[in-house]
Amino acid sequence: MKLSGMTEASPAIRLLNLRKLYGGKAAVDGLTLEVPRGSFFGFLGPNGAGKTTTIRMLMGLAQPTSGEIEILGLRMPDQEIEIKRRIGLVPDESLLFDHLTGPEFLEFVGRMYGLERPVAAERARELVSLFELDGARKKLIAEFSKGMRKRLAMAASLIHGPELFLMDEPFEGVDAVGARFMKDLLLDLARRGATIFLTSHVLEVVERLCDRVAIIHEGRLVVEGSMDELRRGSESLEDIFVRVVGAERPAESLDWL
Amino acid sequence: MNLTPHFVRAIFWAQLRTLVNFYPRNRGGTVLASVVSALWYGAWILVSIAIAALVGEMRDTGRMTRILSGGLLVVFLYWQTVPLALAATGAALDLKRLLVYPVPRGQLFAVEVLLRVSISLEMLLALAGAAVGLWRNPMIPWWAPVALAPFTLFNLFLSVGLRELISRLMARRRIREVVVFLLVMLAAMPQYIASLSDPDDVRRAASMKQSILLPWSAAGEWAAGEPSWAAALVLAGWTAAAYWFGRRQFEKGLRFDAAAARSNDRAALESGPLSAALFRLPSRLLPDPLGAMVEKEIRFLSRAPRFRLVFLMGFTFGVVIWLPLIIGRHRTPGFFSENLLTWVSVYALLLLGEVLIWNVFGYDRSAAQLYHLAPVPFWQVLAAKNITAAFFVLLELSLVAMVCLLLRLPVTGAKVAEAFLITLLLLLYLISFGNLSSIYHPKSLDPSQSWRSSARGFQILLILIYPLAAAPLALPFLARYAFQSETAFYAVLPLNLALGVALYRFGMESALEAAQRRKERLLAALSETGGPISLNM
Repeated sequence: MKLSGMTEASPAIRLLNLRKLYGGKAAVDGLTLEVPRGSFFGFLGPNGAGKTTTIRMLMGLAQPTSGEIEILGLRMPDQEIEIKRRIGLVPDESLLFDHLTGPEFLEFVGRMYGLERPVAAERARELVSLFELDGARKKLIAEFSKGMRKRLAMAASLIHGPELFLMDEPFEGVDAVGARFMKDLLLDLARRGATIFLTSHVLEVVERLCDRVAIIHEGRLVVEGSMDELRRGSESLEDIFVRVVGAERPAESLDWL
Repeated sequence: MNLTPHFVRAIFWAQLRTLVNFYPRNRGGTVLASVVSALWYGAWILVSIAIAALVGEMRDTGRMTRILSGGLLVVFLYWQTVPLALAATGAALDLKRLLVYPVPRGQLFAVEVLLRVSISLEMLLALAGAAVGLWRNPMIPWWAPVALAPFTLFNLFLSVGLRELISRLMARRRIREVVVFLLVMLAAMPQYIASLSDPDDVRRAASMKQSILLPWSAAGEWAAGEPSWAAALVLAGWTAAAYWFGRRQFEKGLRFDAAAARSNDRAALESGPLSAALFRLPSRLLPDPLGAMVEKEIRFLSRAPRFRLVFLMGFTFGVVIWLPLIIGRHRTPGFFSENLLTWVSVYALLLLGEVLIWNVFGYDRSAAQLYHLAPVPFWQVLAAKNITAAFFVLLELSLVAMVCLLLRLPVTGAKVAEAFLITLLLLLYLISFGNLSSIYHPKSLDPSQSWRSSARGFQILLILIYPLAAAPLALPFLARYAFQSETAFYAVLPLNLALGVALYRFGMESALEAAQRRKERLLAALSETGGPISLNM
């Protein structure tokens, strides 16, 4: 699959003072962030930190309360359609259609991105083989395991050859072999110039894959930098994460346990 | 409208595949649904032919204009209000799933307008009949029936706008309840007008020439071959306004953030002392885990928008619909007016059935999984669901009785007791079937979606089950009628109770056996979602 349009100088993602309020409470609170093109970017935070809300705003599924979003040099929401054409999505909540088979769903997604039907069908067949879903060609998505659903979602994100990937917990529920294949594929895409923006709770995965990391806590950016900048001394990403979000809690109080 | 067939074809293709993949799994239901649909639309085709014959034979142009205007007003009212009153808004794009794709919003709007046809096939048949009749009528110029086209577009655009507006309002607590009440009143308005007004006044008003400023009368004039610039301008203006309204509401719907709307209503979750005591009541009366499960069900359902909606509709709709029978001009003593409270209560039970009886696992899907994991006998799970149903039905009946007393309707203590007994017996019969249907036809639903019907595919069976379950309850009424005695009525009730207990025990045993056998299928069905278009019929 060939990636296109990688010459522009603007960052892949630029967020300026982004805010999202839910009932007066800020889920994302003045987030300013730049994701360079061609980077493998890990977006981390504890539960409820605002990761999914941020990614939903990037996908155009939620409206920011204030602030600006620029993706691939294009402004959201003014150039939303052009942006959507150029990004691939692996959302955390399933956007799959349960009563379609895997190849049918991939063909549908391809056509939604403007591919001609025979092209979409051909790519769907190739992706089904690549993601080892051949055995489930005639199965409905409703019958897929969680890992198969994630693999299918990732296959769908590739079908139109995007240059930026937004992935929310892409490896969740995927077995070791499948996860390894997906990681290798993403590394290969990043080497070929794609930008990958992912959230994950598995810090070892982020540490292995990402070259840049941002950590948000209570909707605010608390750390951002390259992996080399962050890993000073002997600190692992987990140590940094626990330190900056202040998540150390003793369990001694549960004396009945 | 700039329709790009590419996206449109992809969306409809995916939906077609979804339907093809869905139905073979339930062949019996498909056949039954097809037969009922064929009968329903067959009847409408006959209506269409009758309209064509009537309009084709009419020679008096003035009368034709009045009849066409009146007919188009009926079409308008049916198109815009009946789907709302039935809480069935047809097929609609599942925008949440399609928004991530690079589809121009104008094209999504076009698809949505096309989908509105799904809720208005009956009216399209009626309009087609009128158009054919007009073309066959030698008095009418050939171009006149074309006026029905902008009138159809006007209705389609308006229904898109109304659906979007109501969907958004339904996502807001408290506003939702007010909207439901207004809709109920709106739906019942023709009945009230007919019932409370002098029939001669109604007839006179119906035969009066309507203002040209109204879209149906403007369309009627043109269609009857009496063209005027004023009528053309009015029709064009209304169609343009409906387009603007529909498009604007659709755009707002795209931007609408249901999560944000819900978070503004957080305060509503904080329960007052009365509701807290109500929630705790089952735990005081029943041993755990039964008490815990019933308490959880009551808490969950009372916070689920979908349940709150049907609960509210239960007594408002019931009272409002049946009220004209006893307060109107045509009020006569008879079976309906004498048993008003029983009718209202049974009607409320039918509305509550969707949530409390037929698909008890569909609203709280994760709980269904938990119930299979926790060390709880499954009969207790079903019993907890049934006790919850009885709790809410009793609460609903109490509210209905209170409303009737407040309105000073002729409701005596004996009639209140009778309504409670009959409704609870009917509930017993229905939950005997409901426990089985919840296991055999589970359907995953979003409890936060208040304006969606759930029983698709199962509704047809309900048409058979309701009369079957209600039939034994005719016995006490027949006994009262035959012997002209209240004692005869109450003497038959123990028989009904015995039948209900036997039916419940049989239903429970079969449901438990099926729950064990179909556990995996049940859990898989509860985790399912649909296609790109959600069908809400």
